[in-house]
Amino acid sequence: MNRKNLLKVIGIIIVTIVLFISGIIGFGYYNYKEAYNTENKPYKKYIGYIDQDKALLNDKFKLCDNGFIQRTYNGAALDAYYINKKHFRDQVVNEFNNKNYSDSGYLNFRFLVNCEGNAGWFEIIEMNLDLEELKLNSTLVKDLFEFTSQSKHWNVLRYTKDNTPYNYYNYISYRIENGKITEIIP
Amino acid sequence: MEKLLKLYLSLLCILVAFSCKKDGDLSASKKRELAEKTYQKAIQFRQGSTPFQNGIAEAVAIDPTYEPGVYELSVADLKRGLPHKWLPQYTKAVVLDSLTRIPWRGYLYLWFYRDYKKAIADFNASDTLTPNFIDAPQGHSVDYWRGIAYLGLKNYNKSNAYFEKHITKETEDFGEDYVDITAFLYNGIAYYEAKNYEKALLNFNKQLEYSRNLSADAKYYKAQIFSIEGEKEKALQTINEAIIDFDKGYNNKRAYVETLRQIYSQDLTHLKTTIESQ
Repeated sequence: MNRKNLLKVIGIIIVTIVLFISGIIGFGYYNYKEAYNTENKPYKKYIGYIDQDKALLNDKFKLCDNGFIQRTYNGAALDAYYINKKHFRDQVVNEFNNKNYSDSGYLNFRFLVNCEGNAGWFEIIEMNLDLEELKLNSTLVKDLFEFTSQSKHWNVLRYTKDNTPYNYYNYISYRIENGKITEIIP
Repeated sequence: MEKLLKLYLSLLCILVAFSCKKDGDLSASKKRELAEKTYQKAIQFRQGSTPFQNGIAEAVAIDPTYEPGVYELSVADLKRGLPHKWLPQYTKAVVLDSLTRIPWRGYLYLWFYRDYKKAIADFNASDTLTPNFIDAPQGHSVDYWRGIAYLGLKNYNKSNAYFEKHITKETEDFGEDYVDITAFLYNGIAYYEAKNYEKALLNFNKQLEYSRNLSADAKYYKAQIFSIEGEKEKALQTINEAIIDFDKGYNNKRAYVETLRQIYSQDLTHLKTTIESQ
């Protein structure tokens, strides 16, 4: 094989390798982009997404940091309660359990708390004790909504790296039996 | 040599052109294989995100009997406070694998919904489904979970009975040091509530023995027993130790949700004040 042919072969090999690597990168990129494409797919938003245009109390406060929301994996849970969950539970049970309601079921509130600790953007889910959607007494719902949506109950949460506050997602579920709160989750 | 290279490139083009096959033509085992592959790709993304959910939905569309996919579609709803969406999806997984998913559902009813009765019903059902085997959803036997559920129901006798069964079995099979320390803690709490202070202390001491003497919970209950028995100095010393342990983070808690009988700083300071005023 002369020098010219050898260079040609090496050239073809190099082009093949480059094409192969580009193909892999391109395929990976396409797959990644395609995975996030929700067109003609059943899930349009991440699970737990709150539609801020439709949520209750969506015009009182503003989200910080371009609206980026932390703690969407399972909500801020016990970190969110001001002081701690016992402080919250004592207050709500004291205020609510002496009222004359008789409903049983779960009442869930899903909401956002902004970087200043202000709660808003609420979604309410009313259910029976079998976790099926069912309307509960509207005054009962209003009572617990008014209590839960008070910003004083919720902490300002911060990034550990630089102590800057962030917006976060949270949910709270009241288990109500015969008109009394028996459990609060999470 | 040149011809060979050209041939190789042509072959590559042909392979690329014919590399796709319609899913509908696949056999059941090939469908399962493809569903599993699609699922594995999807779970690389964050749980509950659109690529995660849509990828798994695609896997389930390929093979609707692929239980891990059917189940996984429900999990983010559970963790993010959407029970009305979680349950219908989870029920589909129960249909496909009731042996696993019924006791597992008991665990979920117990912690995510605090529905002790439904949890117990599922744990009991597992006894019938697998009569020669004690199921252990999430790493603990159904007896351990029943002990907790009955404690939630304030049925202390049954709670103790299941914890004793669990502790005896674990001790026989693997040794006492293998028993999860929370089994001793909860067993102790149930004895404490039933006013059987001797057995309660025995269990709290076991917990402390296997946790390097660090447990705000065990000491909190021990201090109450000492206080009831009129041993003020001992009670005060123990509650002070409990506060130190608590401040160091040695208290019973769990991921995602509050644990049963979780203690808080107010519980400890309130008990200390009560003891001091005795």
